Order: sequence, then structure tokens, then C-alpha cells
Amino acid sequence: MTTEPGKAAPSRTVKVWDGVSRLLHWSLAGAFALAYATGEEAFTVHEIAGIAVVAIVGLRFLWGALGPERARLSAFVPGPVELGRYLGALARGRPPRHVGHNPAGGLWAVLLLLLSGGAGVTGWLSIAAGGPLGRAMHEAHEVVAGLALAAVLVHVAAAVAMSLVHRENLIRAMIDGRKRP
Amino acid sequence: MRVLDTVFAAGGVALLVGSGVALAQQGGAAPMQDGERRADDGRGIAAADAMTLGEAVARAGALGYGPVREAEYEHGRYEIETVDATGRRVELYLDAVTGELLKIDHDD
Repeated sequence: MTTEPGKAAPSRTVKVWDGVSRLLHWSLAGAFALAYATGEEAFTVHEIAGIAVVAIVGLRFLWGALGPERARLSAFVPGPVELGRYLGALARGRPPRHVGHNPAGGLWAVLLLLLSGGAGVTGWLSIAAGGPLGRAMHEAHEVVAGLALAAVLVHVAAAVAMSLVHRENLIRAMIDGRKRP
Repeated sequence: MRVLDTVFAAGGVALLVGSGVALAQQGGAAPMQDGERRADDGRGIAAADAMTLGEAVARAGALGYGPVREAEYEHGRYEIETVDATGRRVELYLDAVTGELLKIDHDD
């Protein structure tokens, strides 16, 4: 890794999350929060926020297929053995630190993308389809959006908990993209 | 390229195309099905030919439900929280134009 002269990287940290991934992460967080907050009213804002959620998830899927190695979603999905070993260590209170995602965190990120994207798609179908399918999608939309919110809360709680366990600031790492090696 | 990469790439393209279509339709009238009358202007406000909230509550009473705890207009339907003749809590879904009872949810 080369260091630009006069703009040395902060000592003892490495670049982990690329700029596109971080931008998509925080825009998805913002669009999802806006959509959730306007779910019961401000229907036009709710629809546009929902469309933005779907577009951002779409971009993240593309970036996750074509982007750099650390952004690859296929690398986020752990094998069952790897996941089981990590969850076992977590249950014993000694989860090993990972510079990238730990296996549970990577799987959860993909789950968040699927749930938030699914909430957007079912929401759109509930309006666009009409008839019995539209009504079924309306019910599905409320369930999936609720699950997505629950998954977001677990995600935030886990980020805070793992920051404390490993004595690092994972939220800042998702802003500046850097972590200690 | 791993199989999963291909799956994510295809899903990404589909979602981007879908969101583009949705954005183009947004604000315009949603496609109507044959024989369907839509009681929604797309912004959560009942259209002119829909029942009023009061008429929807009265309709629930005529169907043998009540008293009504909460009634709400959403997507061409009234969702009415009430109790049935045995006192059990139910949620009724009434078509906002025809008053047809579309569905009964039992809140257990």
C-alpha cells in the first residue's frame, strides 16, 4: 500500500470500507428511516423514500457483485461451519475480532438489504397490483417493514456491543472507512 | 465470478429497473384492473366517490359490529377496529367505495 506524500494515513489503521459502500450504507439508513417515519402519513414522501430504498439496495447489490473484494456480498455470506464456530465463540463470551465483517455481521448485512428491499417491493406492489394480490402485498409490506426495523435495531445494538467488546469505534469506521489492523 | 456474485448482480439490475419504473409511475394513477373502482387518489385521501369515515363506521354498525374504537382510511379501504357481537376484538376492512366487507382480522 502506498502512502501519498504530505497526506500520510493515520498511523496503525487500514482502509476497510470503500467510499461507495459507506455512501450507500448511510443513504440506505437515511431513506429507510424517512420511509419508516412517514409510513402512516405523508404518503408521497413515504413512496419516494421507499423507491429510494429499493434503488439503493439495487446499487448495493450491483456494487456487491462488481466492486472491490471487501464490498463483495458473496464474501459477506459465511459458510455454515464458519458461522457456527463464530456463534459458538460468541455464546461463550469470547467472539474473535475480525477486521472486516464477522460471519454473523456479514450475514446480517445481507439480511438487512433483503428485508429493506423487500419492504420497498411489497409496498410498491400493494399500490400497483390492486385486487387480492394488492391486499396481500399490503399485509406483507407491514410485516416485512416491521422485520426490517427489528433487524436494524439488532444491527445497531450489535455494532455498539462489538465496539465495546473489542474497544474500537465501529460507527466511526463506517464513516471514515478505517479500522486498526 | 462466483454464482452468488451473478445472483446479486441480476437482483441489483432488477431492483434498479423496478425503482425507475416506480418513480416514473409515482404521482400518476396506479394501473387499474378491469372492473375495479379505486377509492384512493394515491395520497391516502379518500376520493370523491368513497364513503366518508362516518358512513364507514355506520356501515360497520349495520353489519353487527360496534362500538368502533378506531377507523382509518388507507389505500382505498377503511380499516375499522371494533368488537363483534360476542365482544371479541376484530379489525374490519371495508371497500371505501362499495362498502363491501373485504376481510375480518381477529385480534387475539
